[in-house]
Amino acid sequence: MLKPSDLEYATDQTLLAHPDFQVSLSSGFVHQILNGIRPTMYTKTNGARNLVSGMTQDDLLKYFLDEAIKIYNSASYFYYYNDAVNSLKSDQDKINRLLQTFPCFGELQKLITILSDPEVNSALYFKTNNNDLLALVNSVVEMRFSKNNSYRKYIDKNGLTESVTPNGKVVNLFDKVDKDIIDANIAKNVQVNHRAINRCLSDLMSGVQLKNQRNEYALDGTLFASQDIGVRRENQEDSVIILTHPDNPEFKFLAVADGVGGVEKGEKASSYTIQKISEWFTSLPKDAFYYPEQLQVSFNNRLMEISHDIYRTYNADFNRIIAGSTFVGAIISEDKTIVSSVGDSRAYTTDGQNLNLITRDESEVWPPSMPSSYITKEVLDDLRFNKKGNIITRCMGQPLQSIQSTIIQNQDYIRLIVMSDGVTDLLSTDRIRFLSLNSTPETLTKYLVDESLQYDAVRLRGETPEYNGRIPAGKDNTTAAAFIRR
Amino acid sequence: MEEKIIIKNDNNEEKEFDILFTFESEDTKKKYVTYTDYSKDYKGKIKCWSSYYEGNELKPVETEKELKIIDSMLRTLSKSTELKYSNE
Repeated sequence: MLKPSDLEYATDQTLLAHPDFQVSLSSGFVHQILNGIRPTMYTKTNGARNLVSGMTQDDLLKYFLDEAIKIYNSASYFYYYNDAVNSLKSDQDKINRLLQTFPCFGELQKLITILSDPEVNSALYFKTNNNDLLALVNSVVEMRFSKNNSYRKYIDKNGLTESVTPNGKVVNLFDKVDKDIIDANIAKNVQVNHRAINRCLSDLMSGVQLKNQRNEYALDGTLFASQDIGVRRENQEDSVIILTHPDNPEFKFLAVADGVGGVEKGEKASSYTIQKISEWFTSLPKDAFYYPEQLQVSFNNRLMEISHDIYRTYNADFNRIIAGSTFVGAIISEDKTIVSSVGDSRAYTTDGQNLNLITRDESEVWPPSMPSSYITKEVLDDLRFNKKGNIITRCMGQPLQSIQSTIIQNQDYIRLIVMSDGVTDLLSTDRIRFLSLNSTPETLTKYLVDESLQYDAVRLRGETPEYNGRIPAGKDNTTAAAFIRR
Repeated sequence: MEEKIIIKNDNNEEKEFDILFTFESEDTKKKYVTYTDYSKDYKGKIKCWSSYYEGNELKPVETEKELKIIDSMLRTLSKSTELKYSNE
């Protein structure tokens, strides 16, 4: 059995499986070294064993992965553009011709599937899967160094094109390999208990419990966020971000997205939304800080694009929401703050005395026709218990044509808070106000989340056919983020 | 490598878990362990937990960065399992 992570051992094993290659090593290579000739001079004639000597493990892994990609790309090119292949009539004849020339193509297809999977770190994968590593090395050695193979030049010429993966996507796998090797290096001395892993064969590991804990974030002394999975959910479907602009620390961004419960990919929609809008914010020119009205248009356009992306990727073919998420986010520019939202995640501000709700819920119990003046503190608190209160009418993942958005003056508030309904369903307006006014900057979001997890919300008027009498603490993922003006 | 880990709960009851993988991080200078009792979540997937350890003491994973490393390991190992399973 191979030792874990031992690429050189895999190479040796491969070389042993190629007698013709061994012959070339024994007859020339050793003799040349004994005569003081530098091995690097003999790379072309003596092949892999020479090439790999002196490489670090990562160099070696990169070498084999890059070569595998080149061979795969060349084989694809051969299949589609070679005249001899094109002249064949049946697909089966074409495939047979391909496999005559690239006998490892079937094996490589499987390896490329792994390489191109965005959720798989390919370096980590091959360092912990010796059999596939051996197959990879074997394929490369066979195609690149076997004496009988005359396709080296062909691979050099056609191997650097972008790869069309087995699922039809065109990707630059060389870049992914580079990134995977760097990322995999964070983990050293990886030891895998294959017996336990194999026992998970039919039921894959969920890993959800890794997120089953509290996350606290702080940035720059002004931005804070807290997040908890709650006590009744297995997944964290909320996503949160606090950011300062890379070129201007006064230019700030905070946002919460709450994956729509009960749909298959709520978590993906919320994380995608936050990831993409964060990328947009950090790529803004620093001058955007001075033009809030233009920034608002750009912000909302980007949100609509992201929503369309999710719609096209997940929902368009199903006529229903497979992936959906709320969104509430605020950009703090020079003298104004832009707040935009979709669904029922909320933004509040406080001026030191009052608590102001900046957003309207886009939900069944709060239709657009309902005037804002109707939404008193008492109505707002009672809506939490409405049995249709969590049914939202708009979400990220629909082909949205507009975004609810407002601009407020920075001088009008000292604290701004964005929250998922895991907080706002549990805490009354008075309680949010109390915590907003009386918590230290460092504890505000922490207390909002803590209280949402600790105390049930109880309806003063009791249960009715339309209203629940109680909302259990920690019923949902719970997230709050705040900007505190210093 | 050690294949089992015994953890005491709040009531001082011992429970045995199987170790899935361990690794060290150069970034955090900590040693991590991910383990399972093969129980399942509501989606029918096997649950697993991660901690870092100093000697015999397990401590909770604290930062998003650490979680990201472990998550990457899990996804990769899950994927290898999935691929092998689909090939059988």
